[in-house]
Amino acid sequence: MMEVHVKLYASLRRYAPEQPLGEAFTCSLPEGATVEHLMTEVLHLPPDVVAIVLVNGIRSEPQHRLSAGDEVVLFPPMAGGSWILVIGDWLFSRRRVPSLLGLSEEVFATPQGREAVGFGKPLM
Amino acid sequence: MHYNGYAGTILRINLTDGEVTKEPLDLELAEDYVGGRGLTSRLLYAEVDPATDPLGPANKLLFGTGPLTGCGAPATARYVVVCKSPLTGTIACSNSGGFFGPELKFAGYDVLIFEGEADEPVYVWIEDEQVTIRPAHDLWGKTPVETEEAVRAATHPTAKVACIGPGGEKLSLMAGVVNDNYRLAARSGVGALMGKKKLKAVAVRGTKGIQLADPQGFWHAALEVSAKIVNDPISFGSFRTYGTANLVNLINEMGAYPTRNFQAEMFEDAVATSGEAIAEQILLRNRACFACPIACTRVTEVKDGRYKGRGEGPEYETTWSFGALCGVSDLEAVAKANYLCGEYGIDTISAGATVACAMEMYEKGYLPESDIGFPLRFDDAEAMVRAVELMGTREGFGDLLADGSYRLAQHYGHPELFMGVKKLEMAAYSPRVFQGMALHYATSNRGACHVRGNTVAAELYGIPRYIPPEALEQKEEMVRRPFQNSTAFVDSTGICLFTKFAITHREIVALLAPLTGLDFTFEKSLVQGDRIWNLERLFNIRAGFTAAADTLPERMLEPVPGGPRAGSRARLQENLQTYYRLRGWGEEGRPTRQKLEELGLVELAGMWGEPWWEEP
Repeated sequence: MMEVHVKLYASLRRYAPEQPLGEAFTCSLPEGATVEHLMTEVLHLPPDVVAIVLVNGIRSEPQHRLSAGDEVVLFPPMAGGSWILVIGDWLFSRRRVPSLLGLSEEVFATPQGREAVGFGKPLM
Repeated sequence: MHYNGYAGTILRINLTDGEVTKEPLDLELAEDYVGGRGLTSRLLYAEVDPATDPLGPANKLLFGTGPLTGCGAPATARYVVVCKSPLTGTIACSNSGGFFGPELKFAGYDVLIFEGEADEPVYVWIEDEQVTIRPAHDLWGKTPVETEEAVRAATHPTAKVACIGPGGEKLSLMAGVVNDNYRLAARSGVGALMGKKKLKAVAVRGTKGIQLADPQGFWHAALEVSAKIVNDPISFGSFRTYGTANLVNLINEMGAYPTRNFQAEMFEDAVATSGEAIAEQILLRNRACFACPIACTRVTEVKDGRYKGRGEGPEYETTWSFGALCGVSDLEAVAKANYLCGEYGIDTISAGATVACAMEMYEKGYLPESDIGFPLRFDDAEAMVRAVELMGTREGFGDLLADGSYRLAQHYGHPELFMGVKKLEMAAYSPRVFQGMALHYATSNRGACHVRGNTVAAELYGIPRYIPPEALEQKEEMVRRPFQNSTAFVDSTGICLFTKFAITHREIVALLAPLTGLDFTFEKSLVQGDRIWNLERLFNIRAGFTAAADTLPERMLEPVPGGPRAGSRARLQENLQTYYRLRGWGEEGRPTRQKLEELGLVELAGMWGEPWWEEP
């Protein structure tokens, strides 16, 4: 086994142990394991939540084989859930709409935490 | 004459004699230069001798909208402010979002041209056809927020206002034009020219619509663009949740985050001033510009203490310029410096970079403490904020700070400590690490500006495709076409550059064609971008710039001292000539006769002096 140091930023922080922002935590991996192995088998990240991988500050692919002592930093493609509602000329942010309609935010949250409605029909 | 998409009128206001004239928009010119940045720069070139004194009465101040400005498709809020730059002496084109641009369009104007100089402070009130010049003695000295409130009280409660703050009044060379309270057309000192013309504000109320050539085709295209933006992880995801400051930790972890006046490229306390920290500590809510689903603007507040304040931002570049670049890790101090710049109406990049330059000169013993009045060391949050206060008011040492770091470093005999190009300070992406940014900063038409060709999109996100930051291969073509030329086109349409992560020229021309009824195509858009870039270059050549100005600070040619990119340096001299050649320029960086003919610029090249071109 070998140890690598991992930092998670933005919305990925929810998958990390309670940690001050920007501080690394240590993970144990089999010798020669890849970044992919770290993400799926050790950190148990859902697919597609990571957009950019830095290994020792250099952008790397998930197939990159890690070495003992490497620092791995992961960034999400989209940080957190957000959606909008368009009614006529008005754009409502997630914060505005529930209060306008007297509903809680959860009512609007999809499993992905993201939904958009525009010009009266769903956009996705 | 009937116009679709365009308002169809250019409004000319002479501030010396008060004459107001209206001229029809030349659609042939619009087809060649699109609108916004391109068309407005073309009008400037024909009217202002590029060699003129930028703060003299012959310089003109132009406000321009693009055909997409105000059309209702997503993120179509931009307007531009164009003149000869008081800061750099190059052509200046700063742009801003909010609601002012669309309102100007709704009032029926594509471009406003301000000529001459008023004797006394004035503001201009435009209500559709009615244009009046009014005294502005009571407004002089007011902040942008106070100015807008007073102007709306005197005109109409829904008037949209663009104005200068005390920085512009005092001719600070980093002053911008402020609209919608907090948004700035910030760079190049366009606000100083507005101040010189004693034009405090422009207030607009527009009640007209924009005619669509093919409404059904247009709304179909607008829906597609909307879907692409809200499905895009960068435009809609990151920018929305953490604002532009989502980049802080990423760029810093890569070792490309300029620190303490570019002495290092990694800041040990970057997390303290990152987008995550802003979201957790001072964010109140997002705010959107006209018709924008991204809503990247952060409304923030420091609730109490000595840095109490409220405003919008700090954006990525701002949290960097007052943070890492000054070695400051106190987010509230960074936010305060940002709020102060908003109140003075000055550019936060130039402001932070000028403080950082002063800090290095102070630490090296080139700048005596007696000149400043207090110690100005790196990492000292309080001293940084005090320096910004002096800068905005021109009080004491602030008089030197207000004109930017180039003049400050020159004044103390250390021009090598100015971290910029053509007198404009660089932004928060190290050209020692991103070779694309090195070439771009050196060749950008308004100095070391990041938004004219932000190659970080390719060198980090892989948009349009990934080329590693350290690679030199293909960078010349990448900087030229998908970044510099493309940005020139996008800025000319009126759509926000932040949509570029999600959409391309194809979607933009799909909006322009049914909107205007003109023959906008993908192929033409590439030529339009190239033409606009070369027109700006012509202006700079006539203003006296040569290939010698396409360079970087000496420090950027030296290796990065530490971090993951230790040893990396800007390799500009290895690819500058290739870039010139791909542009169709000679060794001296001037367009060849063939290039000028290809773009229809021969006649313009013959203006303002003997005709010239460079042999290939």
